[in-house]
Amino acid sequence: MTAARNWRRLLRLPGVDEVDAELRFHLQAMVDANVAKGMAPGEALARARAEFGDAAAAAALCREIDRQLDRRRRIADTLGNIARDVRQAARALRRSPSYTITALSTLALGVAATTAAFTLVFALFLRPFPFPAPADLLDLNTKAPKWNLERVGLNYPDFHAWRASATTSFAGMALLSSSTFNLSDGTTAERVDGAYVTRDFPAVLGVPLLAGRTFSEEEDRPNGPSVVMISRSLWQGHFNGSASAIGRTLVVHGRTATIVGVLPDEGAFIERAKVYMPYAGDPAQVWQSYDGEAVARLRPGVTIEAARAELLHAHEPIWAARDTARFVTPTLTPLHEVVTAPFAGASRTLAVATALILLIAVANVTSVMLARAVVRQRETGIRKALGATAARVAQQVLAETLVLAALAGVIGTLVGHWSLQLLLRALPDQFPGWAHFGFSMPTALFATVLVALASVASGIAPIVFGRKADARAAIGEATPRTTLSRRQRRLLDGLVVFEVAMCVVLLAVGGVLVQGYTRLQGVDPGFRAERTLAFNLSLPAVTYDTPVATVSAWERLLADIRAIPGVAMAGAISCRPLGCHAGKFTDVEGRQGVAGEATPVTLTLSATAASFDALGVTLAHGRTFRDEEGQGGRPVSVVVSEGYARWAWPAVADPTGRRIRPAGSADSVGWWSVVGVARDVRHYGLDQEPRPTINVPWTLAPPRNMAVVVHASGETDPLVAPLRAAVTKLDPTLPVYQLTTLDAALTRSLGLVRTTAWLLAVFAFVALLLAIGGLYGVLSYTVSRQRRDIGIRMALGASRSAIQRAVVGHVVVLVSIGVALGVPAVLAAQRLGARFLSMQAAPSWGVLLVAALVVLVAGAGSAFAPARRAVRFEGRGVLAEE
Amino acid sequence: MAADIDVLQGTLDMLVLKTLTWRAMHGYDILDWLRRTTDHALRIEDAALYPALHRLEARGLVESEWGLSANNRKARFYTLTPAGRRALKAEAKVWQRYVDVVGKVMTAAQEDPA
Repeated sequence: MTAARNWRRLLRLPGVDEVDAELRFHLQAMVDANVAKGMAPGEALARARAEFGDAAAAAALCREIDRQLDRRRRIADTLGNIARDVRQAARALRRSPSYTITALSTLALGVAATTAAFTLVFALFLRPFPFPAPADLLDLNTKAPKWNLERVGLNYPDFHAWRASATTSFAGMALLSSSTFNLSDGTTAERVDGAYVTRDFPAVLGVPLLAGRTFSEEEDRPNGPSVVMISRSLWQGHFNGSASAIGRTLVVHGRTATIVGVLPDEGAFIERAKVYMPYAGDPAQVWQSYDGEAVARLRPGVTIEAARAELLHAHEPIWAARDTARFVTPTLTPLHEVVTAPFAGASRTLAVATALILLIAVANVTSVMLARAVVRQRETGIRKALGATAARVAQQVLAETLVLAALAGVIGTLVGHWSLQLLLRALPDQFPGWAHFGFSMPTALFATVLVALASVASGIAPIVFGRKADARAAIGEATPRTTLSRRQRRLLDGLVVFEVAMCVVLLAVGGVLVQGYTRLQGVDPGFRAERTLAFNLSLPAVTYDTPVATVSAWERLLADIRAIPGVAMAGAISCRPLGCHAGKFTDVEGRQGVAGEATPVTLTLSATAASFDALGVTLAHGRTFRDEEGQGGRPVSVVVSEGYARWAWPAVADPTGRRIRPAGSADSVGWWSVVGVARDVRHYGLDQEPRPTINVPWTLAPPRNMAVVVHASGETDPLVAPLRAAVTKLDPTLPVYQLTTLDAALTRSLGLVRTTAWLLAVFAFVALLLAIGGLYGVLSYTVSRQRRDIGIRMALGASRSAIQRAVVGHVVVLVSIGVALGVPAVLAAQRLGARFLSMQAAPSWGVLLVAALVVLVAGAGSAFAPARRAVRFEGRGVLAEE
Repeated sequence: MAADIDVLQGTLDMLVLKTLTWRAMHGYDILDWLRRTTDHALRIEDAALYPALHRLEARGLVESEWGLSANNRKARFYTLTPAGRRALKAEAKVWQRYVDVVGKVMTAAQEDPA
């Protein structure tokens, strides 16, 4: 095969056609033969042409065959080169197993952490919702800055008005209100999650019904027929997915409801919803409760700004009629943003942390590769002398890093995937139901790109230095120069410094998060979590239809519970800590509202007198109310929280005896007397500020839905069965739900904070291991390369300790520089990323100091073994070698 | 002279390979040699030879190289590759069996069933 042909193939020039030339030669030979037989030239040519046959067709056929052959050869050449490089790389890697294992595990670790974080971020933030045109879905809510509320919720009349008038931008709006439902078939009871939804809910989300239909207009009205839609899982579980389920009935909250439709589980955008009841809102409803949330769908092509303008316009009449002070303003937010908001900080922190880990891993592999490249300078030089081009040498280096990275990619992706699954299993219920964390194409693609980038990144340095190895140096020098040049040493040192700095960053961030978590754990919740059980119970309105019936049921139940051996105290409360929220506004007697002042939404709890003791809520002033101090028109006594007292009577030390009442009460309504001030309770979690709170005697308006709180004198576990028995005795159709110890509830409320903190701590530890591994590797390598220098110095009289000091000293200098760069990096990152990452607090000097010390000690520690090895070289021996 | 035996594609391949066992040849030589050896009994169209040659090259049975012909013209010479040699041996064996079997049938005397 000639060079010309190669060139032509490479450049794909039309040029002289080989097939033509070949055929022309044949024709010429035939003409020559004819002429030799005595024909005239003209006749000879004509005869030859005629005998030859269809030359054009033959030529075309030949060209086609050649083209195919060419293509096959080109592919084979490339594959052959790659295969050869890969084989060579694999051989080289097998020859130095310790290097291979180090580099492989380092990269694999980086890839594992990064793919796991990516899977998380992808599942939560990048994968679209499982609904059609998910970008058009918006969260519709209201805000009330003056009440210090970002998300107030919606009431039906407002929603009704918007839906009727804002039809230019919106394709649809659906109101929903999450709830839990008692589901019963007469003998057993079950508590399931679900929601009240308006009839357009499936259409707005764009989920098709699997069977049946959505609610009709009549059904979605107050006092409409009792109907229900169920989820696919309930359909499968209770009716085996049979179409005959439509038209059958379920007993929901003690009332028979006809099943009209089945929604797919994706409809469980409301987490784990299994039952959907009609919202049945009344546009004329006077009492306004902001307990709904809404999903809206934009018409295609409409911007969120245009929709917002239309929505505000639609709200104008409501301001004019009901809210002249404009407390409440409707808001529109992309649905995805709202649903993923709780995870945003944590996920970003993880993503950034894992990216740092990967960077450290790459730096690590780069330095090891670089060290190898220096050792192999002679080999590279010889190869060049034998005619290998720089590109070819670079290709071989890349093949080596590529083989490494590919292996690391496979191992890392698997490990990352498995560790994420483990993590998710350890954190049930932390993530929304629609998020799937399985292995997906984008994850695989991400891992592949990552691996390619990592291999190229860690191959660059060796390639750059390989280029410098020239044939003359390799062959000319009697002793190959295998120590490092100044520039190379500086690069190695720079990589170590970088690793150390990144390590300090991770340690400090991890430290801040762990510190934040432990600080939260130390926060006084304001209630006693130990040995306290709570469960919820909902008395159906059908059976317990009067306040008297309700009060008597609760009293009987509480009396039975108090009789259980092991129960020290028992009470009931409409919302237990970490359970739910019920906000109301109050007026304070004699207090003039300052114009524009923020009015706090007050957490309003209906409680039994015993609930204070059962929860361990202590009083700062006064006494608790008695149960009957709200009953039958008697003057009402309430207990307010310290936070409420601070807002209502900032100048009063002991506000007992002051009076309050619900906001907007008619003058005829009596005032409620404050009889006690309770210490603040962290009702919404340890990381949330307490709201001003009032406790009202439960007899004032006996709730049918309460949490029973039981404080045990000993273990709580043995109480569970007797508690359930007490409920069954009251009413066998009542399901006990959200049964938990308050300890467990507290722990769960900190789940995400704790997980992020510990993951970061683990990552910081991994980073430390990687940095120390890198330091150790580079050090062992340089020491072994400097045997000659060390030998000479020792022969010249340097003491062992002087040599050791020099080696350790070098490391300490490098680590110190790394720390010196890392600390400002942490501070800068905190300043830039306080909102972006979930790192709220700046690292304290203590955290920074500990991080710096850990890195310093670990770094110096990693230097000892190589330092000791350095002085083991006998000066004589080394000199004799050469 | 029965100068009219049509040569089938597979057979032409085999004949070309056989021809190339002697030495490297260009297309014209190959045909010339075949015609002379068979006393012009085979009818092979000149144009048909070249796709056959290129196909053999694509299958790796022959290799080609440009060189100079006897009268100093640039010509493309084909040589047999080891793979080509093996293929020829295998095909020759099959061909021989075919000829034997067909020959046996054609020359058999009719047996009397009685």
